[in-house]
Amino acid sequence: MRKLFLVLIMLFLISGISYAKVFTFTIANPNYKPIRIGLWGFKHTKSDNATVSKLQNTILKDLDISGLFSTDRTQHFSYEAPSKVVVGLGKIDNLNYVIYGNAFRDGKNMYLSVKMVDVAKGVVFFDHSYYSDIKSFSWIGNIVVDELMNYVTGTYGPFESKIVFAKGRGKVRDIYICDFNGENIERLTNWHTMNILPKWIDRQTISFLSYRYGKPSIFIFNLYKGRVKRLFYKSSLSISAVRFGYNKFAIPFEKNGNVDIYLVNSRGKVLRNLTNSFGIDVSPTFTNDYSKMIFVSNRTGSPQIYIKDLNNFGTTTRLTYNGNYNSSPALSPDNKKIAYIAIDKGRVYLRVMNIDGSDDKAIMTGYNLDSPSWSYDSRFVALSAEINGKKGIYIVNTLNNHYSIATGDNNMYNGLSVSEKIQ
Amino acid sequence: MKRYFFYFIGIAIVAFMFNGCSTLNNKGKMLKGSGQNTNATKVSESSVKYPNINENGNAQNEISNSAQLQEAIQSLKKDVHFKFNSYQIEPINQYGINENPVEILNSIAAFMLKHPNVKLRIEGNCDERGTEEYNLALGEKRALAAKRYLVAKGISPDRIDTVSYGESQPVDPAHNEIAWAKNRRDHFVFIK
Repeated sequence: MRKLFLVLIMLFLISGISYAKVFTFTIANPNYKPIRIGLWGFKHTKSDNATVSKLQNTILKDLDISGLFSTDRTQHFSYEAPSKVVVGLGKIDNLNYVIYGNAFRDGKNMYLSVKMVDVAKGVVFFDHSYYSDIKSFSWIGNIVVDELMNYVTGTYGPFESKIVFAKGRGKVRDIYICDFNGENIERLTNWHTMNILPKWIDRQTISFLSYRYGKPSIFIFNLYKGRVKRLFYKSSLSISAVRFGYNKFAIPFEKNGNVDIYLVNSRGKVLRNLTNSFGIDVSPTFTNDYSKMIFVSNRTGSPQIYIKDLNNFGTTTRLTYNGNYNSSPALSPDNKKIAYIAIDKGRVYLRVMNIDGSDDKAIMTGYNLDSPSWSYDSRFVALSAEINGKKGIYIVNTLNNHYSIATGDNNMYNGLSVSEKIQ
Repeated sequence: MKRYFFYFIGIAIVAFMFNGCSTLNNKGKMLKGSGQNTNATKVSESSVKYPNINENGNAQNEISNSAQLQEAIQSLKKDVHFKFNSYQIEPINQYGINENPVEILNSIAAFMLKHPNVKLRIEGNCDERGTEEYNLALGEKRALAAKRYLVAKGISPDRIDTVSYGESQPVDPAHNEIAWAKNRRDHFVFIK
């Protein structure tokens, strides 16, 4: 009897555990409060104030774009300040982390010594020094924020990358490049013609579409070496070039009245079809092992997103069924998620779903959204958009739906691409 | 002699490799900070050179020099319109556009048959909605639809060129259905 009683008690306890409510922490929670950061540096007697201000602005902008942090700038501490004092004041100000240190100029170089402290644990978790030329100094701000995000979230931040995009008016549009946070814009082409749809091929090279010779054709541009090459022009329309393995490209172009996706080598020779349907097949993107291709097709009447298994007899599966317009898919670098643009009942959405089409959800809405492109950490998406009348490049945190404008310009043209991490 | 030749090639390859490495790997490694700037990490993001491409584009001869021919061209309608996300040549009566594109294409075909030296460029366009890559393909399909019709009417395909401008060349920049209907079009450019 006593044993039976004990067994019943055990069963009761076990059932209690199995029915216990599971609490999950999600930063999309409306009650979520941003992580408070004290940016308490980097003045110095010998500092170049304009350059140091630019570094601070880069850190502030990155922190804001991340959608994770709020900042406090009420204090200032030099690199030599005892961390215990910084932690103590951080606690008084209800901060979670503090960034502080020194910056100064010496000749042609700028120097930065930076510490980051975890206020709750009372420890310095980051302590580094950097130097660079004056022009590149603000780039260190991106590294600092990426390191902070690594400590706080366990995944390195996305800010050490570049975005290529197009802007201009009428039939003159050029290719530009900027940092992931929209800073340091530089023009890459100046052809007095329409140059659009830039895409990163690798860390050094971009492809883009140009009407340089009347017909739109694909160009490859090595940014380090300054080499430009016309890759493909054997069609009345070729649209874009995406890397497919070593020295091969997937290019959607028109042939026999249809727009299909073809495999083309670096000399512009067509190797084989990747799609073969009546109508339009565009916007290819591939898994890292090139075993699967995600693309847009109107084979069922409206543009929808499909996935094709390139190894398994070319089986093609439709991924999107909601709405009559789903386009511009971008596969995250971890190959788990697809960001895409959907038009439903007149509204335009950025949506994200799993690679198998499951867990499809709207991330943001706006006007004329286009060309989502993932950051290398697979958390953020950059895209061309117009929101509340502001046209530009927007950065979206797909985990908490926070978005902000990286750079705004009324002459911005749809189509952009985010690079891998700059080494 | 042959041995010296191989020595020379070997030295050249090694020199080339060192030269290449110095260009690409000049970032330095991140060092543990100590406050001593002599050990600081060199950050050289600006090693990307971004050289500008700076050349002039080409212009095309689009205008005929014959006054009579010019007048005949002026009398032609130079646009046919499409429904949203469609490349079908079909009558349209919506958002201020009321036309039968077949009539317009027939008049263009008749003109082309009468003037065998005139060539035609069909420019396919879209409204601003939708994504750029898809719209480029859609514009091409619209231009090809008109070309196919004209070829069926007896015009040599060699006389007709197509180009898609996607959503980049709107005739009406407004953001409403009336403007979008105007912008979903094939535009015809006659070239002598």
